[in-house]
Amino acid sequence: MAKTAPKIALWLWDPGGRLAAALDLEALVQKLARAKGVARAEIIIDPGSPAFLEALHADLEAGVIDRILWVGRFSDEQKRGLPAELSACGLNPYLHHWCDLEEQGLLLAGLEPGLRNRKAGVLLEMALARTRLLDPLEPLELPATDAVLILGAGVAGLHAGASLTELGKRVYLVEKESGAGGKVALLSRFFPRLCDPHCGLQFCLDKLSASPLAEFHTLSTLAALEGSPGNFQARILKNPRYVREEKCNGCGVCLAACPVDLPAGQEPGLEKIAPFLKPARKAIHPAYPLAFPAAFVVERQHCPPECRQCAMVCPTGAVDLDQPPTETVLNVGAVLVTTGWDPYPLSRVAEFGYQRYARIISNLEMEQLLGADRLGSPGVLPEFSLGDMKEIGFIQCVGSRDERHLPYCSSVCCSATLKQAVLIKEMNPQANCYVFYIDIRSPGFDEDLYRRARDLGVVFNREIPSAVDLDPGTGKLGLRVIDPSLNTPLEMNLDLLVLAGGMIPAQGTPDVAQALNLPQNSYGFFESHYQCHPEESQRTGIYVAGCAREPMKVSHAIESAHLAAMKALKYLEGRVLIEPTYPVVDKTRCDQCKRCVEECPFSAFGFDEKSFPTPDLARCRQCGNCMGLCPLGIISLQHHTIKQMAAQVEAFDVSFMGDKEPVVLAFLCKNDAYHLARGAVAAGLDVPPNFIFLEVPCAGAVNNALVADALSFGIDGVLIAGCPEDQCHYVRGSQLVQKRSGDLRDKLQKMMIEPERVRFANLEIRDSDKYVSLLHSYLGDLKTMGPNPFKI
Amino acid sequence: MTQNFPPEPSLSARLAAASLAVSRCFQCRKCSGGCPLTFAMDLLPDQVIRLAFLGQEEQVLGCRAIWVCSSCETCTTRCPNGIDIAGVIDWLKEEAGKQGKTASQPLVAAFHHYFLESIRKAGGRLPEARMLRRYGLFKLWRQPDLGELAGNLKLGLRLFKKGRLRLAGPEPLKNRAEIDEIFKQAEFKWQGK
Repeated sequence: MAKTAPKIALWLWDPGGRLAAALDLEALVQKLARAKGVARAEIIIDPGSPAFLEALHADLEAGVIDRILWVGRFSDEQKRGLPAELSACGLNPYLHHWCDLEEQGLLLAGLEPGLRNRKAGVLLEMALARTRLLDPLEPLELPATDAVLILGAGVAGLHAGASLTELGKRVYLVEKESGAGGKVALLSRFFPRLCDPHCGLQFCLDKLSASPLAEFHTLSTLAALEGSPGNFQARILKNPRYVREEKCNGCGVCLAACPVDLPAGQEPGLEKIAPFLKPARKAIHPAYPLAFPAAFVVERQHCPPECRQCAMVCPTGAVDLDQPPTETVLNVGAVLVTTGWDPYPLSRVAEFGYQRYARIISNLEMEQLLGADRLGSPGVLPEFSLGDMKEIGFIQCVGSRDERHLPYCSSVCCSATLKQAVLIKEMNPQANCYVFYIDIRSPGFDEDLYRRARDLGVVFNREIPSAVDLDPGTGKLGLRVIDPSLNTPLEMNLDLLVLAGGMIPAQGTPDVAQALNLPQNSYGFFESHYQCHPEESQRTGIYVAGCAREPMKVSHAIESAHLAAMKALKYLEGRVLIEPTYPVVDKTRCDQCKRCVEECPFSAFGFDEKSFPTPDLARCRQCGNCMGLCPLGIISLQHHTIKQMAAQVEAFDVSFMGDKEPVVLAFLCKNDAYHLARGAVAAGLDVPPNFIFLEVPCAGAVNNALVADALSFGIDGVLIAGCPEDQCHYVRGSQLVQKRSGDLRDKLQKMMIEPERVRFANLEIRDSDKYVSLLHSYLGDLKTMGPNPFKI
Repeated sequence: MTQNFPPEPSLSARLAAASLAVSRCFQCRKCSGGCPLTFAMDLLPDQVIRLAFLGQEEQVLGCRAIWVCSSCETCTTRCPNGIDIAGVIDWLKEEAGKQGKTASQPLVAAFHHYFLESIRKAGGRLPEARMLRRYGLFKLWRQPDLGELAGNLKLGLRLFKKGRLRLAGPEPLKNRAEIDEIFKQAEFKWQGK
């Protein structure tokens, strides 16, 4: 499209005459009417009036104007409504610019009228400069599938999957075990209602198995993920089950034929990392932990060579002992990571004797004992009958909240122990339960469980034993603590000791992280914003829920799963809508330095066939950090282009404060700093008139070239204000811009400009007071430095 | 001093049976923080509760703290777990009396006893003269101090002259039977000498 000269309509709206009272509006408008590209410049009475809109329509249709600069203070409704209304008669919604003179502090008390008029003139020239360069833009629509990949069929994955199938989305559930259910399937009961978790799991499984949209991939792992949100290709590796899922109906005839009895207990080779118990079983057995899918599974490594008993007796011919591993590629729009947790290896906490003494068990093993006891089954460990246990101790925070092990709180162990103690006391009131703890953390209504346990006479000791020893004579576990209330040592002998161990990310987490290129936090859990967008990972289209994100109880895992599912819907609608404010790379000037590829906080940049960086628009969150960091300044967010900003910088007339006073251009992050600057003006704070600010998508979007430009045009100082470093909405924009300040320093020194003229600030959204005092001290420093040598 | 565990649940159970359950305590120690008499106590109120929960009967009945308690009930009022701490201490006083374990504070214990006994005898109101006589004789027997006795008699005479001390007992309450029933239910008994 050939560029034609812009035809700008400048409409100044001044309801109540507040601007007119402070400024010589008529003169301003008359002057601007003669400016380049201005076709109309008028003071309007009511932008909503039919007469005005009619005239506007006529102008647009006649081609007299092709873009609008709105000057004045417009409501959010007007800013949304007017472009929508005018787009009906052909004005692209991106051909509007809004210039609010008030927010720049023009109406603050105590300014002399000449200064007000001069500053208004500068602001309007800057607004015009940008308006001239506006381009019509259209949103993009990328094709997308309606399928979602869920990694992990535990409680979070199952709930998310069931809900998404209800919404008509195709769901691929990938699970590394032979059956669904995850850790929750191992629990006897869960709090606060103390009901059987299998009930809630079965509810989801029933929904999923009834839906034609759900597909289970058990014994499977994700090998790689390619593509982009809306269109990922996930390569799934499936280990052989040795039983054909479509044929096996779970009749169990094979169980009688199988000659291999595997004992209950810990799986050999796994005990160091997975302290939970597998039940006694045959080499061929139902899926585990839940018998879903119904097909059996063969633990082939335990089969005698040549034995084919199960295959021979199977009435449906489902057993296939020569099944090979397979690989599938699934096309999905989004990925939900619900890979869950594993217990911390308690043997590492040597002082508590886990795996040294049989009567010291993990809390997860206690769940299995409680479950077995309740169900009257022979139990996972027949020698342990809870009924015979008279003195039962619980040690909390084993591994958790310990600098030597896990510095974080695993968040559920207190409530889990309270639940276990309550179940034991209710089953056997004669049993004595002792809980050794640092703090009891029973948030919210879990406190009821704590009270219930105390009412049942559970003894709580706010102290942790230093070590546990076995008395070989009595076979009891001896431990000694100081009662902090009595300041007296207490010695006790226990029949059973339960270690409330911490949670760590599931064993396969690093593999998943690698396959998804998904950052992990310092504890190994998947990184998240945790606060404002807890479900979001740092990779667009990939959402993390449940304990893969952080330790949480079952109910929170389910909530987080639904949140993740809801957010993922955006990429499961058959198309992904992209706002046109995405980055564009000028490949004719790109020298392929790859900084954008490396530093994009969301890894949105890839390479095209000629090795030029190309943003994956579905992944891009449009923060503009690429625009800020490109050393050549050739990446631009559309509608916030470097050219537009440079034109505004160029239009900044440095003389509006006179000769003596310094003038400053401030780039304010639109998330926090922009709002607090407006807030400072609205509160009538003493905002010095020397500043003019521009709103940027992120402090990280400010390119060094713009700063150097500003200083070379004689602007005395440049302020870049972003969020505090650990609070950036785009992960690290405010860090990146400061990281680049070294380069900027060199550049400015070569230009004989003091690098101290550039200032960075990290501000929070309500830091208006801090902002104002910063402006004053900054001005003081600039005055000491004297005028910019380029100021003529 | 090392306690022997397991704790003896019987004391805790007896308290619970008297609607004075202590197992809810989570050792916030607010009771001790607000108690105005801790300066004179050998055990703090929270320690009394903890020892009672752990069944350390000897220690808790033999302590001085339960006799120092003036039943102001600040602890009970402020306990976040609704434990009637002052009530527990009162129960412990009675229990100590029944078991004759008042050696730590015999005079306070005796005052406590003669006060209640006098009320019981008089059918619900306190016959001051009788109480003072009984307690005075006990004290004279335990700690003969003729000077103090002379001083007290003088004070008694002055009070009597001003009409502040009545020799005749007060009238019993209208429903004396109820008072008797209360004392019966509390199994009022005294072994302290």
